[in-house]
Amino acid sequence: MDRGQAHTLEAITAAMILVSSLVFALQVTAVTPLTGSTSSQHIENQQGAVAEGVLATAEENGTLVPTLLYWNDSAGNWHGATNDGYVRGPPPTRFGNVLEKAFLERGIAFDLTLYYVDDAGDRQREPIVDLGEPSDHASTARRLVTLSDGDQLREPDESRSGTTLENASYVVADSDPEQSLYSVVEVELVVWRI
Amino acid sequence: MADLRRQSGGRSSERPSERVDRAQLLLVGALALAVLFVALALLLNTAIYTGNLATREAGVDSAGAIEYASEARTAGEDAIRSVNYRNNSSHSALNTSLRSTLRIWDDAAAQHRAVVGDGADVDLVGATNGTRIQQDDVTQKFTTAGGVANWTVASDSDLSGLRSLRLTVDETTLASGPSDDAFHLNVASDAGTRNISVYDDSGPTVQVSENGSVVDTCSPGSFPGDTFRIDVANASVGESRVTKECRHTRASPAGDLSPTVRVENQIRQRLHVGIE
Repeated sequence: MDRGQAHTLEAITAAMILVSSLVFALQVTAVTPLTGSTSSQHIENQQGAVAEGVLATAEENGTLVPTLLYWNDSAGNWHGATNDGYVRGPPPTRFGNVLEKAFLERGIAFDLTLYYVDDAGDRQREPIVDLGEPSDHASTARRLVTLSDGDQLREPDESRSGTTLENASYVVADSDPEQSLYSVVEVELVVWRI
Repeated sequence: MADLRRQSGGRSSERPSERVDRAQLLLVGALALAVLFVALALLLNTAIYTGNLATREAGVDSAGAIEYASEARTAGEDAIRSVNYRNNSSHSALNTSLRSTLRIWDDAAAQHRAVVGDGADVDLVGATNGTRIQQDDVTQKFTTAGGVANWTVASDSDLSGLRSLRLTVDETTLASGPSDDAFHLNVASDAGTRNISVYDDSGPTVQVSENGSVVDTCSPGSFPGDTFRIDVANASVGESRVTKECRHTRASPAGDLSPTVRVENQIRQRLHVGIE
């Protein structure tokens, strides 16, 4: 009688151990420090709010657009950037300094990307800052920016170069040659903890 | 399956298999309990996470809509300024251009918003035609084409839809003292006559009279260069960025039936007026 009970218990336990070790083996591979979880939710919300605030502030105090105009007209790229944008840190502009203070110095990585609509009506992306692939719990903030024909490209020291968008070969094409509207672009800031 | 009985060597007086079986059962039972606790902990964590997910925002975020409305307003202002500057031929041309540029803005902006699941649309509900009086040639004094100094700029129906009156004044050309020689701008209506005199009284001075009695005297303060601006509708004088309030310049109260804008003594002034 005892023997039969013991055998049954043993069999059930063995089955549970087998199944749970299988489940554990499957789950443990996907759990990394960057996996989204309960504990990271609060941080995610907070970083999302900070990113939103940084973009809103930059637009309000007029530092966002100069960074978008920080374009080397002859090289066809951002000043001193690679083809993937700035990959070591933010651009040396006032908005770039804010990004450095708000995120990089606190161990938070970010990607800054410019989205625009090309002549064919397709939405294209042009990376400004590319610090890697965002993790699972990255937060995103977006902002619409309207560019005008009269906006001037910036020199490496962020002063106005005298070349207006109308006469420059900027990454975004003039969507309305008739009027002073140049184009509407979207700036996307993705932040995540590293 | 392992044999739970002890093989041999036990004392015959005891019941060896019963004693050993019990210990093994305890072990197996403890293991089962441990697994149960781990499973419970996982279940609890899942419950907490589900609770967390359930209390998150349901995705109805108004920030995008507010931002779109704000951007659209700015774009609309830019568009009006742009069409007034570039297509200043007729009211219908202005209307067509305004609709066209707003549609281009909306197409691009709505596409950006659509990517994140927000549907947004800007429509021009209506446009009110207005009138602008301007002197394009800044080298000319503010006189009639023939050079007459005292003249009526506009009156009655010509002034319907007038929204602002702005003068850019070159201070080196101002007459000294509020004499009859000083530049006058008269705005007459059924509500009375407003008179704005601009003269030099140890510095540029703007004097506002109503029906002959002085009601306000303003000075534009310091400004770079020789020119300062008098914005009648905005009730301010001074350099474009730093302006001082000059309340009583605000001409023509609402409800004017027959307003008239008239200037006098334009001989020594070089002024530029733009009513828009």
